[in-house]
Amino acid sequence: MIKIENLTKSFRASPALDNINLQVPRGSIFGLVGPNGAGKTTLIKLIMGILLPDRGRIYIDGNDVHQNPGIKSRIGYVADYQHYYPTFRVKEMIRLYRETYAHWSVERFAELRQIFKLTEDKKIKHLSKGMRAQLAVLLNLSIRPALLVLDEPTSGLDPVLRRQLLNILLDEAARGETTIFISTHNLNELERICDRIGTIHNGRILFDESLEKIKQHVRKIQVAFAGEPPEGFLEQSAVLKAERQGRVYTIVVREDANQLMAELERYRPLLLESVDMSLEDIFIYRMGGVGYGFEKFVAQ
Amino acid sequence: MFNIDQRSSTPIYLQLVQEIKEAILKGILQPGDKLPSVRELSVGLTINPNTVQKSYQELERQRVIETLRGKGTFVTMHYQPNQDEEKFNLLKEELKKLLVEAHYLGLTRDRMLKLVRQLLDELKMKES
Repeated sequence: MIKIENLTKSFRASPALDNINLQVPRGSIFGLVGPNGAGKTTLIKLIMGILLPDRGRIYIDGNDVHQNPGIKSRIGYVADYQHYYPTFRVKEMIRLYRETYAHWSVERFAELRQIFKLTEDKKIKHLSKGMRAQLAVLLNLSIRPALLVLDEPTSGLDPVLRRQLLNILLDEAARGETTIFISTHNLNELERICDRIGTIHNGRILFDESLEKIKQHVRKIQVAFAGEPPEGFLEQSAVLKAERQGRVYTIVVREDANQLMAELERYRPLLLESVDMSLEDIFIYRMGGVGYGFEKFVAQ
Repeated sequence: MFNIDQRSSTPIYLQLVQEIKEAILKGILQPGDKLPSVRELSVGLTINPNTVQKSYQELERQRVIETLRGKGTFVTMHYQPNQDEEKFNLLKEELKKLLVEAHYLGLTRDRMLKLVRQLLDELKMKES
């Protein structure tokens, strides 16, 4: 379990994280999303105990990361690019982990070793990006982590490897012992595997919700009229955002927009349908709401 | 075995509930059949294990499936689709909307009825 309390961090004068509070239960998968420069990496570095906070505390399974550094032996970390010693061979890297981490599990390693196709005699510098990622996952799951942190774990992986990695993470979460924390830009992936998703922007957690909730908040409908549209229908409070392309209005509405729908229905529209919103749509829409959008580039 | 559409606004756990019920209706899953474990299904469909758990809980609540400690999860031997008033009304409303749409599409009464029969046959729903 991760518990973050009133976490604040700044670099010189510029604030990076502003009073973050977050809780991730054991055996669940948390996804962290946010635009570039939002503070994702800073948060990860603080959780890993690499950076010291200005204020606030981080507990991993009840241990303060900065007060009890011993807990770090229970944290696995898969970076987006693995900076392992380039001249080490794979088997030397494995040995380094085995001898460094007290909870290294021979059985778990053997189990995972069958999934990954790695040549143990190869040097790290001769490994492809995908192979390095596989090695990192193999090593960091074999240490029996209480917390596994992954930073853009699937970037640069082919679809087969990506799916395999996601399934390994799901299997690990299903065992119920590990808390998994993923930072990523790939929203479609998060959608399937996360319990909760947190959105970070300008050093603050804006939303921290289950996926179901996120999807319930907003809905997108498309409507077109033969003649003039009913007067002022876009001014209703249920309408959050509207765009027009020719006859077709695409409007983002609140979930409780049934009344609006019924009203529009009476005008016998040529088209009136609910369009599913992907997590990516919702994210872009919401970031627009906090001043990080690109509406200006959308043709009116 | 089951299809999940992540773009749909129907929550994934409800989609899974629907898919499993449909599989039972079609006879792909039969009373007494063992369902995959939460872990197996989670990995098989690449969806969160807690989501699968939630679907199973919902199906258990509706007495479609039952969990036997240490043995696994099974389709209930005497599965009785229950007539929940509220759900029935909801279904009725949905059906009404579809019929209105069918009408605007120019479907005659006979064609609508024929279509329903055809779909019932496809789903192998028996007359009772």
